Amino acid sequence: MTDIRYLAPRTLDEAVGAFAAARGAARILAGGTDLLVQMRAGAVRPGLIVDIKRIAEMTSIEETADGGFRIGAAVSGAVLGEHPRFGQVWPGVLEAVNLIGSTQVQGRASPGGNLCNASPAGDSVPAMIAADAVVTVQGPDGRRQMPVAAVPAGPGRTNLAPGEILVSFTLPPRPRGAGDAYLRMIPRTEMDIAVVGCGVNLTLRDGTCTAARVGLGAVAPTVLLVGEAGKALVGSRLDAAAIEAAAAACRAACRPIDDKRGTIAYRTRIAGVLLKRTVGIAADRAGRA
Amino acid sequence: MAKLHVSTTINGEPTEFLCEPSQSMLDVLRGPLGLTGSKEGCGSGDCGACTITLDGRLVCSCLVLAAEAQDREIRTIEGMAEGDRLHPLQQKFLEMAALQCGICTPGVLMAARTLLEQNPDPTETEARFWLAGNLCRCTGYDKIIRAVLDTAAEMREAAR
Amino acid sequence: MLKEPHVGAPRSRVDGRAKVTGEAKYAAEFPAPGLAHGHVVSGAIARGRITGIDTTAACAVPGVLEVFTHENRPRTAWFDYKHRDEVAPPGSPFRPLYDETILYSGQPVALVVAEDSGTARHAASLVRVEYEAGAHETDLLRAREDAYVPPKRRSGISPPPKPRGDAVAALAEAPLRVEAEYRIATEHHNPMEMHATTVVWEGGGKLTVHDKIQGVLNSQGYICNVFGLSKEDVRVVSPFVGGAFGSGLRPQYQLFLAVMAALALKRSVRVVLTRDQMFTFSHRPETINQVALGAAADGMLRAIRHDAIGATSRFEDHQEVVVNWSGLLYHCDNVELGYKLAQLDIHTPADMRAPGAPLGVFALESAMDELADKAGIDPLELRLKNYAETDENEGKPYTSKELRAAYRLGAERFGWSRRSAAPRSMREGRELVGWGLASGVWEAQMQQTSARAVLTADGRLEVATATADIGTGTYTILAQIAADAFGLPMESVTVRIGDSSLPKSPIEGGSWTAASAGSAVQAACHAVRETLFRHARGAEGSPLGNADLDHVAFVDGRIVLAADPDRGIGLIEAMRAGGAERIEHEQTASPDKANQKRYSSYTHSAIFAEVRVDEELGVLRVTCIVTAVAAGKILNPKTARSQVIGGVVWGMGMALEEETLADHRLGRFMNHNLAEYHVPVNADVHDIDVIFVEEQDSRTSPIGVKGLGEIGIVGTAAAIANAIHHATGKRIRDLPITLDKLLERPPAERAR
Repeated sequence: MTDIRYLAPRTLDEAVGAFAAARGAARILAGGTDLLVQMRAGAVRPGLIVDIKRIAEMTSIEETADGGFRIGAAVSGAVLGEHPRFGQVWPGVLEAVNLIGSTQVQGRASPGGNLCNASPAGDSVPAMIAADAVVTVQGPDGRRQMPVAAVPAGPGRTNLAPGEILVSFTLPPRPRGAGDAYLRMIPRTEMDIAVVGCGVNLTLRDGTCTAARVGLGAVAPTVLLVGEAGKALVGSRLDAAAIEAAAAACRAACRPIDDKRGTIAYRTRIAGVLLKRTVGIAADRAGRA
Repeated sequence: MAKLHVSTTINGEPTEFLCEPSQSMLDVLRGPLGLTGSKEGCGSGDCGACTITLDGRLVCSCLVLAAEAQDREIRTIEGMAEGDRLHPLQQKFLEMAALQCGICTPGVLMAARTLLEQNPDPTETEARFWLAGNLCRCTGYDKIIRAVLDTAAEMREAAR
Repeated sequence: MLKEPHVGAPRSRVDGRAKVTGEAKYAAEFPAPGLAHGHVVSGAIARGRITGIDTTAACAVPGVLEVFTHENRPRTAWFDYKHRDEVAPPGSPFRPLYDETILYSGQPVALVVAEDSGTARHAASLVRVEYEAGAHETDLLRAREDAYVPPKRRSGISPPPKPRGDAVAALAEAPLRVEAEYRIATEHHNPMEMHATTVVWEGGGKLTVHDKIQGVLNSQGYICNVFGLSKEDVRVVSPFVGGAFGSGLRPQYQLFLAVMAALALKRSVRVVLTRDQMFTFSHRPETINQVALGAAADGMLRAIRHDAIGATSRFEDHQEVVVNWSGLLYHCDNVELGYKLAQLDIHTPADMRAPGAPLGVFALESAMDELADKAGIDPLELRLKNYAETDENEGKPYTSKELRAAYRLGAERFGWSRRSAAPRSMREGRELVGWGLASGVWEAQMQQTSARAVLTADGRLEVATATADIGTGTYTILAQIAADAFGLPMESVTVRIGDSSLPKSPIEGGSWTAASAGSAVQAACHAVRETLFRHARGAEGSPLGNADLDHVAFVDGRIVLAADPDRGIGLIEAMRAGGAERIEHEQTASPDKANQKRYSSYTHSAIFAEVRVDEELGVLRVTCIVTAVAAGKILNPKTARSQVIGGVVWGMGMALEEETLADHRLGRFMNHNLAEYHVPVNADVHDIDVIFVEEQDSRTSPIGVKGLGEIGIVGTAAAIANAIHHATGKRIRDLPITLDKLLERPPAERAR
């Protein structure tokens, strides 16, 4: 029973050093809402648990000089929700993060963990992709940045190199007239995993959409950036035809599976419906912004 | 590798314990510490029966490593009443029959207390979503919600 | 002035304080010195045999005390019947670690016992098991071809009644016909408390056992039979049970394993199952119903046929009452009912809240809705038209039946008269609105039960019986009944239950506990009262003179003349006068056999449901339920209302969410956790209104009670399904009604 070690370093360098030295036998503990379940089920038995919640950079939220945000990878949903400004600037990202599990899970679970768990149904990921968020990772060879969409490699797998730790998310500054939103479809009213999740981030200028990004979850092995959907919206006044074209692009992008929560046909159809509704909310927010 | 020595505060009392690195806070509460008021309903964060607060933050203790409690403050159901005096939520749950078998009850009470600390005047919908992570198989939830909303009203009245 | 009695008044749970403070101790929470912990290793195949178990690695983990398998387990009773518990169905009970045979997926194949639970859990993951798999079948739709009428009936379960009239001919001639198949998925009980047993080794071969069980005597009898122990050496103490809903009627395998290990290791042992393992024993059997209704053009029923096939295991014939309800809920002269079982490679199903009834009633009440549609008659009117005044299955009158009043009161409260008849005709914003109704029915029963009452000279009263409180409120209603017998405050009464050393009680189930244990406690209290009354009358200068017991009342701790309440004598004074330090009586209450022969006894309900459907997404909310229940006397409106609302939410789960899905290739249930097996959450629930219909019933039990544990769920799924049809025009006959079933479209459209 005693061949597992627990480490709660105070600095990132220390964490990276220990994590890399363990050569794959280590696991990062952020909120623990996936790791402890996996350990309990016997699915993983790490030689080393690196608790990153005592590292300031991993647990802080900063507004950057240019008006963007930098969110530590281990910031919990509850803490993000309490930030005075973040939810005003990125309401869609916040509502996505706050849909990860129950109130109790929100007290622990982080967008960083949600991304690294690499579930195709992770709620925060489509919204982060729509937001064009970039992550900073640090490993034995130093720091690098990569877009959120590039992190998941498949269900449960990421493109982080051995020894690399996800440090933070950077969200870009917002132009005027920008708005984002996230909607998901679940069978139960709460406490459920997305059957389809849709994040939309768009900018309106004088009623015309000048930029749009669409992230779609739970319809493929990884969360998708649906470029065609964004293109269908850009240049339009978000009229019915443009939105239907974007919905069609979402349906076309779907490569889902049949499972207990939903069939392929259901998921594909719902992707289009959710796109329409999410665009509606994002556009309202953009109009107000 | 030896067991970890953890110093923490539980319900206001400085507490020390030894734990395995992989042991959950719930296991330590229910095992060596003998605080069995926190229940295990799933071990995977799906039911909320093991709800405690960690530095005031609502968490499932089955999803917290015991080692993480170092220098933190934990509150459990055992600390909710002040001596013989029940917390208003506990009293109201009794009066309004908001409990049956009693397994979900401690977790629901812990979650409801945090709700009222943060939001003294929740709507029914807010209360239902806040408590969605606390599964109950007996009551059908209705009386739980009525009891929480009634307690909120009484506590607001008392605070005037 | 006589004070208001406790019975019938809303009283708070007497065990509530222990539960809101976390002090109440459940099976897994009793401490014991030197306690060892067992972790179960679950089998991986559905059928076949174990060809090898390698426990070397597990045994090598420091702290592991023993790994028990079929190869090294201690001897237990050889004969099959020794393993049968109080409520075992016909067949050969499952015997844990008996031999190398695998009967179902998830079967326990080893128990690892260690100094602490974490070590046991880890070591259990190191046990390597090799199997030789045989061909298995877990698909009821395939196995139905081999369904059979169970040759031996299960005790307490009525087989379908003999046919009356000629249903086949009447159906063929009927101007209106509804014929359809209705299915209900496998469900698991999932009480919030995991099944667990703590066996305390008391030395000298004596055991105190804390088991999660709905009847401590059932566990005690089972342990004694299986391990050859005497009842003096085995005491089962389970004062609190964290829900069970039927999963705790029969001793489950953790009890066997914990006792086995304790006896072998001669020390205290605890075995707690994981939530995954809660899916490896009892469940509600998947059931297929075929219903055919024939009616005249005006909706009068001419013929009812209802045939059901329920799943069972290869080793026991678990039977439920599924179809009989179709013969008694409505007046009909031509009825033919049939019930068969089909064997699968699964564990034996078990009774789960209102076993059988919600399955058969879902089918019947859906079919009635379809008939109302065809006949162009309001669904409520159709039911009133075909109202059964007597139990036509048995040709007996009812002890009481206020279903008509339930329909009326429920309809008024719900506003049923404002319903527009056509499906898809009610809409609000983006949502379609639908209203549906159904009837519910459950048998009202009483079982022979004994109880003891002890009045002591300090004015305290203790009542005791071996029954259980699984969250139902048994402690509270027994305290009310006992307190009323002496005019005492409830605080003066101590209720002891859940202990095998107490007077004999059946398992807690079937909604019979209030009627049975309540009547027994009342009988014991009345016996004490008689003795006390003799002392009181014998007191020097007794103000009671030679009044007899009928002419006095017990009020505020005094015995007073009913006609002149100012004249009386205190309970303590009366005891002193008789020189009695304590008065103790044990009594047994039994159902009235003559009444049982002459009458049928059922509880009834009328359920009205509103659903709102977002048709684009298939998302559905049950926004309102009104249920009107006729269940005889209501002992405590607070606990009663809880029981019914809880049942209603179970009905919502059955209608929309609950389903244990098997992967038939592996023969295994796949969604074995609370993330994937959906029970309703708080946010799923909206308005639920319970009406208790006034109903006098003096024949079911001496205290007028008919029981409430089951009635809330029966018919609720049908009411919701009927409301969904009204909202969407879609008739889903396959529970649960999940989103994709609601959205199913022609293949051409589906391909988009």
